[in-house]
Amino acid sequence: MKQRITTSMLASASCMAVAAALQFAITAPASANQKLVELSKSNENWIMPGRDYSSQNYSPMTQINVENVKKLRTAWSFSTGLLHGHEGTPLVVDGLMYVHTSFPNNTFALDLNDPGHIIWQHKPKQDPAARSVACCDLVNRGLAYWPGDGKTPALIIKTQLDGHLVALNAKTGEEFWKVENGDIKVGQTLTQAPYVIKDLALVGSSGAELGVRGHTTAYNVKTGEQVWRVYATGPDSEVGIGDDFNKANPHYGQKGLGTGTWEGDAWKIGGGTNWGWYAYDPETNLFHYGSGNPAPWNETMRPGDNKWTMTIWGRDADTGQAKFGYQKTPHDEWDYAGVNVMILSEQKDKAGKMRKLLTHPDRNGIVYTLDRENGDLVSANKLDDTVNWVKQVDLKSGLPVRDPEYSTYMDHKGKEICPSAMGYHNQGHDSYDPTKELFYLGINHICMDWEPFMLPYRAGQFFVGATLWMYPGPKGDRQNYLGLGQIKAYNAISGEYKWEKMERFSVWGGTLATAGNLVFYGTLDGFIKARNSDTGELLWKHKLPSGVIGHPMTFEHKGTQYVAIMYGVGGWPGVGLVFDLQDPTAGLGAVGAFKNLQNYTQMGGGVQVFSLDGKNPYDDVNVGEWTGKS
Amino acid sequence: MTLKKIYKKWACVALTGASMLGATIATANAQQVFRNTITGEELKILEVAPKEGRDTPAVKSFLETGINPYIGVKGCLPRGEEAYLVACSGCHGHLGEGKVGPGLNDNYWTYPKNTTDKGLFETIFGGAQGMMGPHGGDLQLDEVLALIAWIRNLNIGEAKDAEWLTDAQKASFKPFNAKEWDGSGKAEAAKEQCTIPAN
Repeated sequence: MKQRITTSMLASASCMAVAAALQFAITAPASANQKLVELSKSNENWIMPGRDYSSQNYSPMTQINVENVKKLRTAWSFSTGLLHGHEGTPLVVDGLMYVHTSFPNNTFALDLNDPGHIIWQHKPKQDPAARSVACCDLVNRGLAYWPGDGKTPALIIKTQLDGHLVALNAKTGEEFWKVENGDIKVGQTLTQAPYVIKDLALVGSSGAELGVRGHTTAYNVKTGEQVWRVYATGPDSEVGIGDDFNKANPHYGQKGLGTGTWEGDAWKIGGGTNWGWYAYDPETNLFHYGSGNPAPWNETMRPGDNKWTMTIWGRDADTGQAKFGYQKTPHDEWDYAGVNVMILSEQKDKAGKMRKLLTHPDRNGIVYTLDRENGDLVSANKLDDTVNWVKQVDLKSGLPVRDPEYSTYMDHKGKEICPSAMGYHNQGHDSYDPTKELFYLGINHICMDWEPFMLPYRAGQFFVGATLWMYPGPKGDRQNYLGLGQIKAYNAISGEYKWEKMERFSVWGGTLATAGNLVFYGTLDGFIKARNSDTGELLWKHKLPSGVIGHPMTFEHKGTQYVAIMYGVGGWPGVGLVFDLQDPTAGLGAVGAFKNLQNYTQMGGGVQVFSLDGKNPYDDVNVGEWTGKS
Repeated sequence: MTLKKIYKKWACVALTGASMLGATIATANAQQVFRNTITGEELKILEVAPKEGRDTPAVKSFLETGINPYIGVKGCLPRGEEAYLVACSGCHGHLGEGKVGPGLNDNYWTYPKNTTDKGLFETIFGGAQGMMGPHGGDLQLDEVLALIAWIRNLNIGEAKDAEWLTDAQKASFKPFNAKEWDGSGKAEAAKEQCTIPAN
């Protein structure tokens, strides 16, 4: 009908404009989304941190493969000029690479034809007080891309530590809009990579360590206006819980629990922020993410299940309303913040039925696989057999069966708890090879002692209340603080690990899988490595200028396959590197596990790009030369 | 500083003289210049600090002398502890033992000037590297002085290296004992006033 009105009014230019606007408003969202889906299919693009909406971090490219990966050499590199943690991965769209940085969250656009030339740069001025309310170093996890619709230009969406969400013109870097998503005065910061669905820019929040009440917010990508906001705790209307919530699994809990599982008003400062990775299924129109830990860490100060912190969500992208929510760690006692990556796959379950799945390696040491249409629990297995706070997850009730020996409570120092608060898996963006049905998981192998203490809540200040001692897990070397990580290939249906290897330090940043039978990842001590994804055999490695806490990506440009990775050690494992070596206490507590890291790497961020034999645009020596005034 | 810059600075003072005069009177002739621990830039204390807690005798005295009169004053410790727990313990540990930030309860300091009251105040107020952002805007000045007194009280190092103590304070110094503090010390301290000692 719209089409008919448009054609019948062709005679009048002004009416046509009205009709065009009308059509734009109704049909543009779907087309922008389709454009994003199409762009993500091209090997020349990497338009979101997990490559496409499934967050599989899997590339079908085979130019670099097990046979020739030994010939990978540096093609070019770029220094961001900044210290501190560089998490996530760059984006590549339409011949440009977009690079993000740690605080103060600069953004650079590089020309892939001449990467020595910065096309534009955006350097925001932020209130330096934001630094002192950041939980764990001054990291940022990346950017989002919206493809434009002919009327509004293509945009790069970014977060700033000071709680702002900013849209930049992707071609010029000019600020298009900027909104305050949270207030640093009450401890709300942003470190996450925003996420674009249709014409919405989604963003979570950080600051559970300061008693922030976590939320997820959608903004109109063209104007920056808020469209909806849902919270992790509080009344159902604010959490986004309606009549059909958890219909398939009523035992997960349904109504009134966002307040009913808290004492008094504690939910108002109850944490549940989310700063990890999102995934989206255009067919179900649900997006998935995990809400984080309750506040404070000291469990004695917040009796109850503390719903809906620590929850895997399936929410409608248009409204934010929750279809299902599964709480993994009711009444958390260890800071097992549930924000980790959600990877979507389609696989046959044990009964042979094809299902839409989501797989989530959680901080608490369990890797969960759910039916992403209704939230059914399909499998829940330990990330390592040394996980001890939980004996198993009861698939029927969904509840973890705890071992009380590893509980934490006031006037008690819990010992040898595995995993540590850092989790056996943290923010790393892992990958999934659909041809092998294997997930490639970067693992922390760290355990801890934990002693709570009481403290008052004050807005904008840390609200933690626990002292921690961390050290390598049982398979590591506790004398020398080495053997802190693993890399594993996991089958979510059988629950088996096809292979696993130990690493000197955590594999903090995540993995990339390719059809070249390869899995790539970076290490904290500054190597990028490639393994045979079938066998785990180490095939290639290269020493980078600094340690890695981001994940690799790959793209094709002018027929050449490149692999790119950000380096720049930091984040929680790297916070100790800002201290000086002589300080005898630098390295206690949370830093303790990584006290040896300073002997392997130092801070300094950038991107390094690899190709076979180092093929790059400057192989033609005339590229990028100054040839005099024209 | 070049002559040109000096000239410019004086011109600026002349122009803003009226407002400067007001500020000078309010701060009772602040004589100390406080500087950012990393950049060395002058800290604009009265532009940043919360309005409350500025006009106490201790703050006035500290801004003039750079000496914290609350050091060793028992009555200030409960206030200092509370400020510490909310603003510092998240990174530096419950007892200053170090966590994601360095320990504060020994005699080793990342920034050597932190051994003086003035230096430690500058680091807290203006911030330092990394996550040690400025706290000048979120803590009252009088509170910062009580906080510094608490940090000094947490010390378990040796008195002879504690540059922030006077000789008399060194002589009576006892390393911090958490059990004693939680047992009776805190209750006793709460009974006393947080004021500048008479002499």
